[in-house]
Amino acid sequence: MWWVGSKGADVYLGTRAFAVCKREEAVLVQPTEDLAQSLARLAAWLPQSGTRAARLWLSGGLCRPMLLQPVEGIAGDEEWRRVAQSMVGMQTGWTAPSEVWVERAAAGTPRIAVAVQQALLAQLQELAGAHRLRWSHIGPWWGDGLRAALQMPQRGRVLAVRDCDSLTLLGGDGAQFDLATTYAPVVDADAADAALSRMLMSSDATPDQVWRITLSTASLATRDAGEVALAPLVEWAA
Amino acid sequence: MRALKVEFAPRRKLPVAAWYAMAVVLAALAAQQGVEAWQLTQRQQALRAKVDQLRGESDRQEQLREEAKAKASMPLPYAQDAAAVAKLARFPIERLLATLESVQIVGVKVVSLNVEPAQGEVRMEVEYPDQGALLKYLAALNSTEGPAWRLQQAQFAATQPGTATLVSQW
Repeated sequence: MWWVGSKGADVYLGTRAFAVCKREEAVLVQPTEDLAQSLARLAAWLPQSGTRAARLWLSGGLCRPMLLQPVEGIAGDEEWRRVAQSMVGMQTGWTAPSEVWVERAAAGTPRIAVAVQQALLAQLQELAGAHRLRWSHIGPWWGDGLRAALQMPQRGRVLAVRDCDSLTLLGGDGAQFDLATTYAPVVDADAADAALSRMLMSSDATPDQVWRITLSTASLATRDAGEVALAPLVEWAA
Repeated sequence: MRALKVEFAPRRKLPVAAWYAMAVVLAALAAQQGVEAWQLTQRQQALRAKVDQLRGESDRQEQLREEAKAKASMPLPYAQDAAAVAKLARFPIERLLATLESVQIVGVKVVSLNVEPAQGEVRMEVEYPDQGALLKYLAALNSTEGPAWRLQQAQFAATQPGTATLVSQW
């Protein structure tokens, strides 16, 4: 697995929380009011990070998936990036410029794109550079939740990833995707359940086909969440 | 669903020192390759010279063989003499002389005797007083053991003995 063996820190940044885990221990968990506060918490931690490199996990509210259906005549990575760029505003409601990542998929099949605001990325790089720290990875925490879920023996048809500010739903049969969306802001369990119910009503998935992973900053109780980033903060539910 | 390797971290740029180090390593590799290439070229040239030398020797050997073969097929300059000597050695000269000594006809004298051992021919020139004596001499020769004699030519003059040439194949 590409993230196993990290000797640095795992940093979580969301619009409602900031957290740091080192060597499978939660060393810092701080609820916040908004993104600016979360960034301030990050800036305060960096001088005392004690590490030269760290992985940065973004919440679903800051890093959003989009499902790109196959488009005839579109070929090449650059063209797919432009298609994804054109969809960001509609999918996320963002107006500011965004950076998009698009996976490579077989022609004629849906593929996933992920968007994050460029200003946020720039700010994160600036903060890290100012403290001589290198981000060895920047990506959505729900992405690692998906990776960990796919390694479990029991798999659902829909994965619901809940974190401090969003509910990200990913679904599909076999290796294909037919669902990739984020509901944000979703700041508590009730809101998450409501969003999930709405999604289930409009899809052919049933509640028993949904498996859930939650990153919670509510308590620091020891959990055995397996090999997933920020594991001390993670709960699984079938 | 499948795993997604989402990545927004910028690719790590190598520090300038690393680029310099890489350049030095590449330059050293290039130099080493250049030296090896030069050494290989030298070796190749030496081998080529060796091949040319061996080819030249082979050609000379071949030429010598051809010459020897040609010589073997050429008759040796003394071969004819040697053969003549060998044939003379086998020529029954004693028998010839004994034959000539046994034939005596009054007035007929052997003037010369030529032996050609290679052809096995004997040419004898005789003087004779008259035709009758010559014919008696020829008959006497042919009555001896040995090859037959024949009269090749005869000259007669009224005032002096005639000469005749008698030939026999031995």
